[in-house]
Amino acid sequence: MSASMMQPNLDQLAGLTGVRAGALSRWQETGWPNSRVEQWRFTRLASLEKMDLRPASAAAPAGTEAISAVLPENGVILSFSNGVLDVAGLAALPDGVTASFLSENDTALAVLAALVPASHPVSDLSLAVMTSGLHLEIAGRVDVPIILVFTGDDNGVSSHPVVSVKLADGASTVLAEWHQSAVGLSAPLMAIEVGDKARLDYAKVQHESAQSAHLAATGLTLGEGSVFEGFQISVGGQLARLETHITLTGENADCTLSAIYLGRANQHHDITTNMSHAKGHCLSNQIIRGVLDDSARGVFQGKVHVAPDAQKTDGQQMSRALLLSRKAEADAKPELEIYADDVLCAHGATVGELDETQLFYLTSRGIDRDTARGMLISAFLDDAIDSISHPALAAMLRPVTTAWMTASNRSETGDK
Amino acid sequence: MAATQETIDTLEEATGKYKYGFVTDIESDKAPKGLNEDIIRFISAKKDEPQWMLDWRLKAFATWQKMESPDWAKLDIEPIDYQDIYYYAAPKSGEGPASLDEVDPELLKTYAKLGISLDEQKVLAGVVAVDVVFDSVSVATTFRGELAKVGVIFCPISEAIRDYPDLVKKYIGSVVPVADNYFSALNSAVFTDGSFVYIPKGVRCPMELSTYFRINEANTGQFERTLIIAEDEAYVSYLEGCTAPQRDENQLHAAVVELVAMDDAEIKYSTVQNWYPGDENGLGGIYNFVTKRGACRGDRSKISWTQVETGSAITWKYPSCILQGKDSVGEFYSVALTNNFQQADTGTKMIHIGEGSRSTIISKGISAGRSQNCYRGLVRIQPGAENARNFTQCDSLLVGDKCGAHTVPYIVSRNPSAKIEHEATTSRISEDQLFYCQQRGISTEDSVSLIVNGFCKEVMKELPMEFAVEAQKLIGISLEGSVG
Amino acid sequence: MAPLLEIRDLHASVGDTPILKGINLTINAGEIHAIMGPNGSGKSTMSYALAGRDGYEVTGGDILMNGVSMLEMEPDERARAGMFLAFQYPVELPGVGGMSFLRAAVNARRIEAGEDEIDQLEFVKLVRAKAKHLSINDDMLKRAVNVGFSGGEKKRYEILQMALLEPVLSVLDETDSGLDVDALKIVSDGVNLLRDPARSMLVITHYQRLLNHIVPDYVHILAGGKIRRTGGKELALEVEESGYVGIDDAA
Repeated sequence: MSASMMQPNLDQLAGLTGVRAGALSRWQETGWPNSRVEQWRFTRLASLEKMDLRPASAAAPAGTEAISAVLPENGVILSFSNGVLDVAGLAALPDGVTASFLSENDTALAVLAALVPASHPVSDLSLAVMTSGLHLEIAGRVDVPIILVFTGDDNGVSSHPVVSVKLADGASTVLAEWHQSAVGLSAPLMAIEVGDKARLDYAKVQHESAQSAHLAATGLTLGEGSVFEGFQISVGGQLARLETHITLTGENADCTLSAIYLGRANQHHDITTNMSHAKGHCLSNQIIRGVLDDSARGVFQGKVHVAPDAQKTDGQQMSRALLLSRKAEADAKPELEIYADDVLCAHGATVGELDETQLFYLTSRGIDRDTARGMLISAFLDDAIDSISHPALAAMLRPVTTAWMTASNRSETGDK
Repeated sequence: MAATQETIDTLEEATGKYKYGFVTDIESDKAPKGLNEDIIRFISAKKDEPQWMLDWRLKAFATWQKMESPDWAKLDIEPIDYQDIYYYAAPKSGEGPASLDEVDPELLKTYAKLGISLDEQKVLAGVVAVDVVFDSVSVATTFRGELAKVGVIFCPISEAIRDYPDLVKKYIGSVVPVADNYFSALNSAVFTDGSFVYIPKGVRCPMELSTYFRINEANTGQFERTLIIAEDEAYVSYLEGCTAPQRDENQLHAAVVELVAMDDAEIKYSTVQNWYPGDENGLGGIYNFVTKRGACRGDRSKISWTQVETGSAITWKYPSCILQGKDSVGEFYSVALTNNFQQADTGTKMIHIGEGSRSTIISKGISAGRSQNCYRGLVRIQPGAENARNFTQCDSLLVGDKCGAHTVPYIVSRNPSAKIEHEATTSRISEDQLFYCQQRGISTEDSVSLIVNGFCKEVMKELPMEFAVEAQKLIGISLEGSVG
Repeated sequence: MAPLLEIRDLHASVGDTPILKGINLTINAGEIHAIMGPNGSGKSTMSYALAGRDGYEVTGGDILMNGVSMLEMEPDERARAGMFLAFQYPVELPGVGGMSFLRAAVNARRIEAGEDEIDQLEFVKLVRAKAKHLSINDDMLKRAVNVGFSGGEKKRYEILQMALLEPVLSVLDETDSGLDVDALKIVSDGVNLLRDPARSMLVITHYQRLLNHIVPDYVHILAGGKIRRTGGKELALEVEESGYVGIDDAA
């Protein structure tokens, strides 16, 4: 790690005990990974080391930040400002949701630590620093969407919200994360346990300010017969990595984890997933779409791991990237690691530009080129967005890509 | 290599699961075990090399000493004691025979047993010129006279160093730099023999060229070096085959192969690798660490790698193409079959630099027994590779539930006009297919072999006819005992 | 002399579900028997149980060919003993060339009989001759087995294999499904050519129309895992008219 970055405030953490002390010592030993670490070969954190940040200790003054989200109307909002939870929001939680704090609860922290990606800098650092730690237990059917909104106004701080969610067996809920802050580094750590026959609809939007870095680590386990439908959009920030590890721990789980990244200027987006089929008879499906303009770089790394005896696994993954500019770069590393034989696993990856023939077809019908490009890009993204079955989440995500497209058309017209 | 019926008969006659496991009892000339500057000087002196070559080797050795053994991605490997290996072993009578008549009859017998005819008179269907490398030396090269008539040079590389120093100096290490990786550095220091091929401008090589590699001595490493240069508009098809005796200890094979294709030239390089894979308990077998790379330097040049990998305890091999020329073409067709405790980590790198460069990757991995089989590949599109194209298809087949199949492709695209498509699938042999074949009266084992060969068809059809027949048999044999 | 095929009180299950619940059937050399029945009556299970497919477990009774029980035999052993199954859905074998597949099947029998493998040229001639009757052209023979074949082509290819392998007992599983009138004629003509006093056939079908072309000596109605009625070819016509309704009760 960079000494300049965390050291002063980490000293204050000297009194940590238990799980967090362990995380701190792992972080102090390894720090930010260098580019020789295989999992980080496409995403280098050298720029982070130069940042001078301190973990946030207080929320920003209330009411100073506006977010651009179209949030589900009936949702309950839990706000994190500079990574610090506004506890007032907990009062509005619907029936069936119980909240507690993680900071003093070493048992809950141990459960969380086992769920999040292991040997991961965000897991260790955010667990150690933890600007706020929230645990939610969901029992029964909770139809009111729970929306976690992360804002921040201080680019000199890093935020480390830690959230764990447990869906009891048979429970169901809708969970969304909206990240739109101007902090230097946003490093949210999420752990979600989906119980047997439970269902979670989940969406995340990474819409940080142009100078921010967003490094997220999320870990999920899916119980027997459970359903997880997740979608992520990475559109903001200067450097972003959304890393999600899912373990299918029970049979007959059905898991969808799709993502879109949209990059322009010199943005760097990284979507990394690790889909681990520990038990057989499960289904996993991932649709990834990326659009890159200017000098943006997009990375998709996705591993599907099938354990010995996880027979009858069906693991599918498809990633496509569109390059709109000569300076853009797309990298992909889809990966299959398979130790059971009765499986159907496949991945596909493509990188290319818009299809000239399709563009010509549209323009020959009198549509101007920019509009035609927009139509084709929309179609390319809709392919992924159409897979979201929860209407409120779809309604939240769709405007994000539309807004990006509008900005894209503007800048393009400006060029000419 | 002269395969055909003779080879098949040999296969069937031989006993034991690995059909090439015998040892030739021949007196051998060996350098002491271990690796140091003196050994390198010894090898260089044995080969009667000029000073520049010795200097190059010593420099490579110094480089190697500073390097670290690679951290195996998907391979589980015992550390190698580089001081416990013989770096030079040669049949005493075998060095530099002036004609085939002088070749030790024991050696001729060995090759006859392997199905390789060194008798130019006894030409089977399809003329193939053969260079045979036995441990550290080339013992015979056939048809050299015929080839010389059209200006094709085909000889042991040790001879080329003496006779064509300018060509060797110009190209050796130009495609695979000494410091490229740990094993290329090691090879550069201690390489003993291998083939040298030079096809002059406008010449289409009139016959297939082939090198047959055999490791015979115990505790001996084989470090061959092959260099093939195709000048403008030249064409050559080159085949390579490999076997080794059955031994309980692991043996090291670390080769470097460099190909250079100039404008409109084409090199087709085919390999059937059947080094001893170790026994059914994972004891013994060859460590096969090979660096193969081709440079498509010329416009419209083409390099095509085809490999059928069934042998070796551990294979680490990524035959690659650097597509520098405009509209140059790289191809990689691979079948990798692992059984018992074998481990294979193989694939390719296609580096697109030239405008309009195209590459195709077809990889078929079959895992059986307790083996691990990994495709690892890189497709990189550099900013100048306007309109570059890549298509990759990687399919894995699992036979049994104790093995693993892995696919690790890396895709890097830095040019928007380039199109990359990658597809990969993993599945097992379908029960429907198996039952259908069995219902026609075909035994389970033959049915599996038939279906697996069908699975590999796209690759097999790229092999020259003589090789394809042998490769098909080999797949059947290598799967033996995997179907219960 | 023992009958060519004798099925004695055959019970078979798929997974834990019993499908066949006591089938008795005797077929003598030269006879053609038809099995008709509604969907789900156990027709396909019967053909797979006869051929010895994994997952179709015989839980009781016996299957004898020429007096020898086949229950302990693998599918390929049964096939070499003279049983041929024309599949309802022939399986595609990507990359497996048609000629090498057919040759492997023919040679498997020759090797078992202690004969030499068939000469390649002779084999090509033989296949071409048989293929001609079935309107199978060279292009189809060169392709991988069943890959890219139309439904009708697949069925004709099944009959070609039957002609080459010369089985003593042929089980035709819904060979008429998916065939138009012309294709049905070609296939049935191909089958009729193979009628022989030494060979028998078991024709499984849902519809009567196939039996206009391949005329059976006996017709059996299978329902609920048992043979409910047996009669001559006129029974098929009766079923055609009144359907399978009420068959279960007739037993």
